[in-house]
Amino acid sequence: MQISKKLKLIVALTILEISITVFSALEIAKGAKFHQLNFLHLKHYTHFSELLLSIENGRPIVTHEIKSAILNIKQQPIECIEQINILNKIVMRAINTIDALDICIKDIKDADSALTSLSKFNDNEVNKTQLLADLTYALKAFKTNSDDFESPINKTVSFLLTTLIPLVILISIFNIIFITYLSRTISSSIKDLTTILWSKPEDNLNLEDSLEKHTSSELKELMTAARNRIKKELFNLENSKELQAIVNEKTISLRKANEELSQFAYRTSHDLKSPLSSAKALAQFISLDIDQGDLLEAKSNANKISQQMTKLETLVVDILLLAQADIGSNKQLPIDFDAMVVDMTERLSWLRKDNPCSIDINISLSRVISSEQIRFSQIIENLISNSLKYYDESKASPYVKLDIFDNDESIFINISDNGIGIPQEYQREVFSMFKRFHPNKSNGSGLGMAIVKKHIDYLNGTITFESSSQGTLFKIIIPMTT
Amino acid sequence: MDKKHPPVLIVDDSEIDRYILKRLLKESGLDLTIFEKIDGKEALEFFEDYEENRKKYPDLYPPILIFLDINMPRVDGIEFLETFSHLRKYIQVDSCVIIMFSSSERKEDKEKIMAYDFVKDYVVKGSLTAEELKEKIMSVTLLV
Repeated sequence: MQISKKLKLIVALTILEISITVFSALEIAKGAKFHQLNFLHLKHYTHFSELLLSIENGRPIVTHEIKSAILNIKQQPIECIEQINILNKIVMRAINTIDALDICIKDIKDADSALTSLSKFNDNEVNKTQLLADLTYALKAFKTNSDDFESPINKTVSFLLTTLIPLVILISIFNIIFITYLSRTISSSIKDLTTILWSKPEDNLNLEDSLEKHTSSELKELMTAARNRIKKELFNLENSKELQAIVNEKTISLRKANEELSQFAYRTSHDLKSPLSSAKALAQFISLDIDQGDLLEAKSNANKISQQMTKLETLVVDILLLAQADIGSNKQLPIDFDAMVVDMTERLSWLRKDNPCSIDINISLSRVISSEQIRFSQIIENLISNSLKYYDESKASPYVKLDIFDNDESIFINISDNGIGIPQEYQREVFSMFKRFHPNKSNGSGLGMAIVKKHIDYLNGTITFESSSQGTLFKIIIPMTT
Repeated sequence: MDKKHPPVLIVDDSEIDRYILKRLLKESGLDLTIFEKIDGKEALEFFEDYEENRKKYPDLYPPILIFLDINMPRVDGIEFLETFSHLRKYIQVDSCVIIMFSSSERKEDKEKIMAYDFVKDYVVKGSLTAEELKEKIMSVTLLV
């Protein structure tokens, strides 16, 4: 049986018990009421008897006084009849005490005939003697009625006491036993469930089966709801942890980006301002040189201004390239690497002039690569121009070598040289912005490798290098989806 | 030490900036001996080889004044100052003071730099005339 049904049954039994107890109490109280009414009847009878005696002794007849005394007597049987309900009648018939009711009816009739006699006397239909005889008769009848009434009422009341009180006690005992039993069954099913839940997972290979066998349907429902709720809460908890982790990660990367940006802004403004202040000073010197007639010095200073302006131009171009490297374009076009390399070597002709390096290019691709050409072009151009700038004058045949090849997943770009190499202590800063490690040789913006790194990050690729005084090898791997 | 040609050191990676400073010094009329180093690393080596350089430049070493750039490859101006402040405990350079000579002046860098007692001034490139430069040099060194 379900727990809720058991609880409902307990409530119903309790209500029944209370009802029977209250009913019994009321019925027993009714027995007392009958006795009380009979006592009252006797009292009014005494009053009526005294009144009659005083009339016989010569007191004048006051009809309304007599009428009131009779009506007082009549009141008790009326009330008594009102008290008796159908159930009482059945019980009284069963125990043979129903004549109490007849006595009441007879009493009322006796009162009525006395009242009739009194009204006849009023209408002068009977004389005083007749009236007194009628009233005396009624008086005797009232006395007889009261006496007769006592016995069946006593019998009825004692019957009620001997039946209802044991009944109430019996029902109470039954209720106590039955309710105790029901409570036990409820608490034991809860205990069983608790035991199942406390058991170690290995003792209880199949929780579902155990629940099926040992728990009532309501507890099963409770368990299912609880499990679902817990699952949901755990899921939410995991979710919120995940979110927190994402927020932390983003915060760190934003902070890093912010620091990078602030460093970038500082270095950019510095590097932009530097050639301008130099040019300003040089222009003043030129003016002085001309005044002093030193045209050679003036010319030399004009050349210096020109160099500074070239430096500025390179820097501005590189800053723009770096900014664009962060912006994606959807131009996924087939790349003609051969043509790209030819264009690039032409663009680097200014660097190749007076440069002894040979450039060896091997392109071996199994398929057409579609991507953003400009990124590949800038990666390769920056690395090759570095190799050209930092060649080793002491070596017999300086070279730069470019290999481009692929497999099913990736494209590989290797750029190697036998140049002066990147000093060991600066290798971790290779991809930082505005870093140059060869003060005598560098004339770039210090942004080239940062541009390369940005492009490779954008393409989800990797770049690694090995460098020593023997030379440098950069290895780039960029995943290619087919 | 030769009082007529007091030695100064210019540390700057930009050849043009070194030229500009040299020219300003020349126009200021101060008769100086000028050493040039292209970054902090070379400048530190110049002081690390103290004994050797004393012999090499008997009357001109160590310099009495360093013009120091900040943004340089390898060892920058700030890193130079850090190492130089340790170096000063081991070599006799008490009379050597520094004037910063840079294109920029970032507040946090400047505070850090000016905390060294041997850094006497901070000059922004292109902000001084030869005459003003002369006055600054005179005020931070004992040149008369």
